[in-house]
Parts: sequence; C-alpha cells; structure tokens
Amino acid sequence: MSRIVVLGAGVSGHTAAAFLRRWLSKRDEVIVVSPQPTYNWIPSNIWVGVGLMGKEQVTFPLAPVYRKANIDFKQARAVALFPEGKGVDPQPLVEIEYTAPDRSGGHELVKYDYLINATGPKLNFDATPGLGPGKNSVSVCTADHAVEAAQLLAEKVERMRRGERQRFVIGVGHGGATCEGAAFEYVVNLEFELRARKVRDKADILFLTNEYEVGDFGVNGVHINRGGYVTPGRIFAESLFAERGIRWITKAHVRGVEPGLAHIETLDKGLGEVEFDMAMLLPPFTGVGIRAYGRDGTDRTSDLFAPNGFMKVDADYAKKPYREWRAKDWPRFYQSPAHKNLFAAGIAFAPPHPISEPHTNAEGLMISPAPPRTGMPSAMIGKAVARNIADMVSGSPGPAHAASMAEMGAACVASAGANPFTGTAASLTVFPIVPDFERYPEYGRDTDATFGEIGLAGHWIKILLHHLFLHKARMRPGWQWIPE
Amino acid sequence: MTNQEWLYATKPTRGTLFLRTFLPYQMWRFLVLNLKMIGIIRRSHGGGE
Repeated sequence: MSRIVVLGAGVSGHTAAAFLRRWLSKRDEVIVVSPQPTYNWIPSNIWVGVGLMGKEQVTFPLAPVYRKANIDFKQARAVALFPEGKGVDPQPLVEIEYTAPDRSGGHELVKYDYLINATGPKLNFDATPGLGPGKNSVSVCTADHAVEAAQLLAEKVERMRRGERQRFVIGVGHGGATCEGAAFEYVVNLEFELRARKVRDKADILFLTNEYEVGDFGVNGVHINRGGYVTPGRIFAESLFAERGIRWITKAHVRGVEPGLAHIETLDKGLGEVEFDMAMLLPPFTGVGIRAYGRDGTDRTSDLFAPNGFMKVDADYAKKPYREWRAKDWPRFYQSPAHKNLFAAGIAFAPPHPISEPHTNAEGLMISPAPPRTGMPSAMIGKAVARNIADMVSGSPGPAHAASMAEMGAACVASAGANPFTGTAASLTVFPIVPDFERYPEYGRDTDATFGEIGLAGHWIKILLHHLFLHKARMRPGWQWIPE
Repeated sequence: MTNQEWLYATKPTRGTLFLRTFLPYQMWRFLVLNLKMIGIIRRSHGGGE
C-alpha cells in the first residue's frame, strides 16, 4: 500500500489526484491538501469579473467530490516538508496547518510515499505598494476577487449612466508578472460589456502590460500563418485593441498604486503616472513559501526550492544568456533531483528561465513576462506526473511519461465578449509552447500548427470548454475521456 | 502617459467584422477550430511527434 499526498486542488493538483485515484489500487491512499474548500475554474473568473457569472458558476465544494471518489481531503495548507523524515523516523512527511473553520490553526504531520507539490502560486500583491484587493486595485485571480471587480465595475457603470467619464486601467501590476493573457481577456470583455450596457462613450480604457509588445503573452509571442504571410501575433492583438478604442502601454512596471493613480516606469519612456477610476492589475507570482528540512532539522529549503519559492525539478537551472536558452532546458518529468518521490506540477515547479526575451531597467529589475504554466499545460503536467507515480508504485524504476512544455502545444481560447450571437473569442494554438529553435529554426514553432482567429465560433468553444472542464473537475460520468 | 501606436495599427475591414459573427460561416469555423484544437491536443499527448 502506498500513500500519495497532493498539495493543492487547482487545475494541476486536482487533475493529478483524480487520475491517481483512477490508476491506483483501492489499497493505495490518495490525500489532497488544499487551503480552499472549493475548486475554482479560474479561466471563467473573467466572466465573473465583468458581472456575467456568479461565483457559484465557477466554483464547487471539493469535499463531496473527493468523498465520492474515495480521495481523502484535508482543508489545510502545507507548511513544511521533511523529505527524509523527521528525527529517528525515516518516513517522509509534510506538515500541514488546517484552514477549515472547525480545525483552523491545528497542525498535523502527514506521512507520504510520494508527494506532488501542486500548490499553485502565492499572489504576491505585496511586491507593488498599494496593489491589490483591499488596497487600490482589483484582481480576477480568485473568484472572490472577481466578484469584487464586478461590483466595482457595476458602480462605475452607474456613474457613467449619470454622465460621468470613467478611466479604466487593466493589465499587470508588476514588471515581473505573468498571466498577461488573462488581463487581455479582461480588458476586451470589459470593453464589450460597456458597449452592451451602452456607456462605452463615457469610458477611457488603457491596457498596461510588461510585455515588450502586446500579444507576447509570456511565450515570446506567436507567429501565425494567415493571409499569405507569417504574421506576428502583435499585429492581431494591436488590431483588436485599435478597433475597440483601447489604448495600450507596453514594457511597463508598476512602481506603486495610490487611490486613483498608478506610478509606472516603462523601458522606453521612463517614469510616469496613469490616473484611473478603476484598475484591475494582476500581481506577480511566487511560490507559497513551503519550507524544507532535513531529518535533523537543518533548513534545506534552498536545496529543494528556487529563490522565488517554486520547486526545483529536472530542469537545467544553469544561468545563461537568452541566446543560449534551449528547449531541452525545460523539465520533462517534474521530479525533484534531490528526492525521487517528490514532484512539482503546474505553476509550483520552478521554470529554468522565462520564455519571452528578458528586458531589465537601469536598476536591473526585469520588466518582461514570467512564463505562464496555467490551463492546458498545467493539467497535462498533472496527468503525466500522476501516470509516472502510478507506474512507480507498480514497480517502475522511474518516470517514463514526459510532459515538457517544449514538446507540447497549447490550445487557448481568449474571450473577447460574451454573447451567444454577437460575442467573439480569439482561438489560438501554439506548438510547442516553449519555442524550439533547433527543431523549428525560423520561428521556434511549427507554423502549420500555430494559428489564431477571432470570431463567434471561438466564443461557443469557450462556453463549451467551461461546461466540459467543470464536468471533468466534478468527476462526473465520462470525465476521464475529456482531454486536458 | 499615452502612446500613439494605436493610430497605426492594422484594423479589420467591414467584411472581416461581418464574418466574425455571420452564423453560417461561424458554424463552419466552429467545426474547423474544434478539429484543429483536437489535432494539437492529440499531438501534445503523443509527446510532440
């Protein structure tokens, strides 16, 4: 009998836990540790943030789903790892702190045979003074944040109906942030909603991003074979903004946010200020801050985790210039080099370096996107890690199922307005996610498999995916046949 | 701070905008896009071959 502990119940952790339960025998134990009692289908938070969906449409309680699936659920957060055991006991264990109301603050040591760190990120609003919910901007990173954003938007719409002009600043709140795609979706959905509510003429909308060019999305942009030309994705992203009257500022770092005022710095124009009535700015991510200890209590955090708090895996972390980055730098099995029974999946693994070409300001601060690891790759990594652990439990000497982001593609549908007849979405595929210039010398990607277009069909796909992935996450009949 | 790049951005023609929400065309694109995405998913699950 083996015990597998999964830290986190987001896209990656939940996928891994569900497949582990399916592939392991009944004698094996699967335990999920997550500080939140609910699952959140995060891509649809965009629609919550513009008031088109309620929180209950993008979340559901995890406990009943796990109870039915015979997965043990502990509503708690991981505090410390003891991968060599503790004291005289060599059995690896993880210390957790309960967040469930009935046991809040209580600690437990949970032994494991295999552990998957799929905690996702810490939303590091503190990296920018004044940034974030409860301060001077809103976010759509969680369902609760998105509800707050929708409430603020409704208030601004009322002001516009009374004839007031309102300024919206949407984007990322730090030079090292990621998830530019989510900010992109939010700004075009917000613009669509303002038109639908007939107040668009009273709104000034600005997209504020750390991307060198819009359409970079943290993957160094894409080149799309369209209309007889291989065209940079920037052309399509700028076009979408221009046709909707959305202005943009690129290469930007937010130095601080005051009520109604963002202090920014851009790589090409230096310091500046942007006034706003509503700002939705996404934070940078770090690891959640799990510590690691040796059996004798020695702090081994820096052995297992990178300085940004994400877990080191089978990647090449040697520092090298952008021109020397290679596709093979990226991990294939997400296994800790220090402990063969320790894996990291989804956002929790430490990428070897960004995907987009890095740029820094005079102070050495990076103003360019961190690599995205959300959605489809996150789920595929979770599934591959689960497959490898299931094999190892059955006697396999090591992982054999790879899920390198340099060998997988991604299909992404970015909503650009939600209406079954007048809405649109940008449907985009890239292959591979991490450019491989050895295999595809010109653009780093297979231009036959990298495409994008905007239209109503994309919106229908987005709606379909919302329902399919929630069905899958609820582990309802046939869930395992729905691809990641 | 503002930028002026938006003045020079490529903009869609009326025909392009019309096709984006023209139901018969979008039904066809729905089919095509789904097939393309399934292709990417299958290729990704196959280790990129």
